[in-house]
Amino acid sequence: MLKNYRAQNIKEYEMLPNPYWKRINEEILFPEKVLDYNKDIIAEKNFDNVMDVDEELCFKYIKYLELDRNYGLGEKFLRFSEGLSNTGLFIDIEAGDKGNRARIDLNIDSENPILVDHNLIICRENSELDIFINYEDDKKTNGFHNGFTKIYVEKGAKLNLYKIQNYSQEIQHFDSSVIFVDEDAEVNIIDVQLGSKLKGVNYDVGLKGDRSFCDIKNVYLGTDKDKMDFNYDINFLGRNSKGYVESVGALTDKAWKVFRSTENFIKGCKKSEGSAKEYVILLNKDVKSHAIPALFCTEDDVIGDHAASAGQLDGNKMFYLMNRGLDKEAAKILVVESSFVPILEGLPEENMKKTIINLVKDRLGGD
Amino acid sequence: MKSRKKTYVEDIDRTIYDISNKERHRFATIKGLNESIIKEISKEKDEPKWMLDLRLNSLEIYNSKPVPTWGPNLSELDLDNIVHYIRPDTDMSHSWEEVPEDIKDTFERLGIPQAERESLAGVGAQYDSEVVYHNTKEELTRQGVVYLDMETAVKEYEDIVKKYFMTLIPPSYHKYAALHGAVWSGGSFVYVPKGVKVDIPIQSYFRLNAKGAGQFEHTLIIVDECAELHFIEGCSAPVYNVQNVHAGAVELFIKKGAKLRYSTIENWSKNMYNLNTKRALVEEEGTIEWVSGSFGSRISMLYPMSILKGRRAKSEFTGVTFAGEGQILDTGAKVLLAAPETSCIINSKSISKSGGVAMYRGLLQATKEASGAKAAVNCESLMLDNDSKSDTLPIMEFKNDNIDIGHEAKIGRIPDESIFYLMSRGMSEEEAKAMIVRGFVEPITKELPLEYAVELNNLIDIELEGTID
Repeated sequence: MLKNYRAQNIKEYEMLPNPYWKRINEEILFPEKVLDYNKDIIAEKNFDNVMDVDEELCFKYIKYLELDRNYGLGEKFLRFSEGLSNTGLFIDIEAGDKGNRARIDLNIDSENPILVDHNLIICRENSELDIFINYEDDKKTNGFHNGFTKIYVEKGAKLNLYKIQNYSQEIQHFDSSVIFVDEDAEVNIIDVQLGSKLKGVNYDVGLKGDRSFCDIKNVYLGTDKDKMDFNYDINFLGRNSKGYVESVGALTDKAWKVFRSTENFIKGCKKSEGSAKEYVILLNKDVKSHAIPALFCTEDDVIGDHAASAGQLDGNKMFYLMNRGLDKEAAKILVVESSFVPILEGLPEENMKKTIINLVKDRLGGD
Repeated sequence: MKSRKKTYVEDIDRTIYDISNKERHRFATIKGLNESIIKEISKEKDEPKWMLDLRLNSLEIYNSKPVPTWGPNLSELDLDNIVHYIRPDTDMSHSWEEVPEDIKDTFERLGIPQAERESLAGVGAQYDSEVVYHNTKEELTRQGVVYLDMETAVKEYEDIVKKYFMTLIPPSYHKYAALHGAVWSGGSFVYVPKGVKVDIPIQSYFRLNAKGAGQFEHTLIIVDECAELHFIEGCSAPVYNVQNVHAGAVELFIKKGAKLRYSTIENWSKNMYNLNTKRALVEEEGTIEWVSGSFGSRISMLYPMSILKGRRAKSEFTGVTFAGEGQILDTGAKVLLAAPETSCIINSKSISKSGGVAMYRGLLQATKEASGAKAAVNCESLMLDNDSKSDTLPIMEFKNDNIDIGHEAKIGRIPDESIFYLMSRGMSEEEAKAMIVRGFVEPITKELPLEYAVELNNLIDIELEGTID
């Protein structure tokens, strides 16, 4: 069954043309051959039900693997992961099982330059799971990552997902996640995107159940000639569901960013609330920034809003800091850092926040 | 126990718009579109050759472009069944007395002669494909203001028209701009000389009476340096059970330090495909103000665009869209910030009810040259029932770091708390809801001339059947 599943996806993948992303003027080229990935991606876990994908499991989980439509970055990316993945995980947390925690390293090096992961995460009723995913590389390999993760958060369950992508400029990074949230279930995501010369990140959330909840927070940095396309879709189906997206970023050099969000209130999702906010700090005259925050609504009994803003560093803040003895560059870094902090405060470990702030400083050329 | 009925907000009362006259025309092309029809229209108008060439080139472009698929579904629009040119059975006159009775009555019902007497400096009235009445107050003529129907302008001011005509909206802009270029007829030409400030508005009204016809008027306005003008455009048609199409074009040139307010109340019938194109080019320290009310049509695709080309040029867009049963009103605004310190404000309100679809679609672009540009965009949507649809899709593209740009959008229905508050102050539920809806569109009504503000409030006629248990 697994063989057939993969074969079908490979066939579809091969028939699809390479996507052309016109907003950032980039044709996405996929690796000609996917080599084996020989690294263990589980760095830490305190539970047992993490499995490598095999024939038997595929049969058991097929209903979770086959989706009703195409989500994520696009068909080519999805079929690539479903057909040609060289690593991946099935995580199935039992009902009522709490305190689960895992750290996953999706790292790239010269011996493993191509990373294609296909993952399935199921949090059964009233379970809880925290997952930390790190994306690092050896800073010298021209690499490629494409990931596709299907997530099911069942009734009353809670998932906290933290992603910190710190690839070097040599890596192309594409990541699609589709998340289904049932009644009274909750998903919190903090997605930190610092590196990679070309990246596409896509979250597609279905708030299926009544009182389902999703909060996505994103921090990003664009330097050099980075190109990036972020897409956050929340579909409100259940009554009293709540969905929030907040994105804060900074662009410098010749970085080019596209931010999209869609709040889709579907008839029947009464009393639901949604909000999407994006703020980008523009640090160089050569940056390019696109924002497309969409609101679609076929249910009147909802509250939805979005806000997007773009601008330079706050002149008053800069003046104050420079008055206190900081030079312009240091003041700039401090202002960017301070705009990221409210989101980074949501990380469960203080050292994660410090690490990210140091990485931001490094990338912006600070001490 | 009394049953509690759902609050019902009436559709716009269209009685005065829906009265049609018996069709009497002097000339009409056959249905459809081809080269010989274009030549016939041009010959009928006794046009210069460059205009015929422009028409034929536009037809070629029109035929080469596919029907756009990114917006409302236009696949049912059958232009082979549309009569593209109908000359009414009258000449253009400068006195209402000379206008045939039935046509005059139509405009009387719409309040145009009365508005002219009371508050307008000039009026143009188009009936089907041609302008049937055009008049300018002497004072305006003395100031050197030129206000003519487009056909006369092509002949009397050929050099100016040739210099500007379809340069801002070239036929290549999109399929329906090309259609317009091929079959345009009627419309207004306005030139306001340097430094002249026209205190009283002028108005052109476009009435499409013929069944299964198209209206393709062209409006060309040039407001010269430091001059000012308020131009009002109104449009309506009676309802038919066949398709009608409107693909007008509005080209506005606002020179250095000049200011133009362009107000539109569009109330086409619900069989109309309204595929209008409007663009303004604003030079240094010039200002364009759009005030736009979209109420009619089956499908509207209307996104007035401001191209802010000169330093400190400004644009302000204030729009309201009311989509009722069977309507898909896809409206919005586009702004190109293309010079230093340019700025724009966009305020858009939409209301949808009884299955109507209201869509805000916007584009805001800042070029590399737009250093110091500022923009504020605000969109609010109100859904009056659960059968309707309301969407917001703004696109923002910036190629400059020295900008300050913000966009906000909200969607929802009338909050229960607001109704409760007003009811606690002694209002009935009906009054409370009516007040909230009127308050919602108030930013638009206050921008309109008084008689249009009254008309707008009449259009949004609130009727409640509900009782509170």
